Amino acid sequence: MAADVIDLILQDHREIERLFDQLDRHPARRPLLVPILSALLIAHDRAEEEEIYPVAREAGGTDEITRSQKEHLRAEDLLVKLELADAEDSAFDTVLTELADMVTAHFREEERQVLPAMRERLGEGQMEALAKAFLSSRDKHFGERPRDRRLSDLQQQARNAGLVGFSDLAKNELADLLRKLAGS
Amino acid sequence: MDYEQFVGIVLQELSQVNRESADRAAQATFQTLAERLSRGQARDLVEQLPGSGPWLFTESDAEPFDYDEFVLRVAKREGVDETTAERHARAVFATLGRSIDPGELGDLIAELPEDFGPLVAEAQGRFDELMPADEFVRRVAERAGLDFDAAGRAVEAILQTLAERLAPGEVDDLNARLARAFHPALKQGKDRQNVATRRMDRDEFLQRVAERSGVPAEAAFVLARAVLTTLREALPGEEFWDIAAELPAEYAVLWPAR
Repeated sequence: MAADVIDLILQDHREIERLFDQLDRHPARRPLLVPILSALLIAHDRAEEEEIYPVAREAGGTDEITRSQKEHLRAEDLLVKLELADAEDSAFDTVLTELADMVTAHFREEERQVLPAMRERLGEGQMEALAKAFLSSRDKHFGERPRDRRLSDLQQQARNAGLVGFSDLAKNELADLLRKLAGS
Repeated sequence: MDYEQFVGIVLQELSQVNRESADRAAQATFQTLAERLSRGQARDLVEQLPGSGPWLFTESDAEPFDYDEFVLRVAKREGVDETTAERHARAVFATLGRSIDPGELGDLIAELPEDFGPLVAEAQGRFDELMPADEFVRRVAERAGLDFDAAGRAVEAILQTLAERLAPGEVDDLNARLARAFHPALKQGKDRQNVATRRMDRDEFLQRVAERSGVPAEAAFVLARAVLTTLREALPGEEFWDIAAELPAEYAVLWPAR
């Protein structure tokens, strides 16, 4: 009864969307919910970057994965802004709307292109192994902070985004490069 | 096996006590057990353990007290603290399991409620060691980045709130599998549960946890995840997942995936 990797990803998508909705509709719950959103979104994104995107990229989704990786980088930046915003301030609503719109559109894209292509091209055995790898990566990254990353993680993000020739860059340099890339 | 041989084995089970203490432990446990059992069951036991008659003799019906009360009574009879009494009672039950017929043991176990799990497990020789309370709290402190006292308050707040949310039978299972230091919190939660707490959603759960442990709402999620992750480590086999299965899917962010 191994879980299906695509179902696992979809479950996270729905839960994250539900959190956006609650954050929007129940301002009083914001202090409670922002840490959940932050932990879940980061763990989910990083597990995808580590385990799903490299495989999806190889399965032919080069352009989609480049775009998806950039969207993850932008989402983390917005998450930092959301954590810093005062929950009662209108700035919070602005950032929340921007983040929610961006992430929701990103999910739709993934669900329409990346995930079906994976299902089509990967064998059952690969999909099962991927489900395990995704869950264990997600647990490993649970509780990490936005922008707080190891060099090896940044290098994986760079590969996912289609960059080459970054292996000499130090952690800060690579982080800067990725941030610029996300903004472009 | 007669009573004298029985005490000899209890003596081996308990390190650093003399024969007199082992004798007192066996007497106190048997007297309390006699109060808990039906007259017929107590008489059956005496037949299996000649010489234990004075201690297992009872003329009253079974008193329906719980595990904590059992340990308390043993402690009073022995004149020791409850932690020591529990250790002694467990040694007596472990010995009991090896001394009487399996069928007789089955009858005895059938008369004891769910929360006597630790003693029953000893008697059946399948005891998985309970995670000591200090170890539990220490792991939570490390995970949540708290000092020991704050982590202790968080554990109690979360267990109490969990006990308000779960079916009473699940709370009894938890009680049997967690160190005694956590039992008051579980009992409080179980006593206070009502229709509303049984339906509590994840966010209400976290809100209560924040209030009870005296932390800001922002901290509740990290605390809850630290405690429930540790709970998963503390419970043997499928027990954690039995509890998880009772909670709606939105709670699943509070513990690592299976």
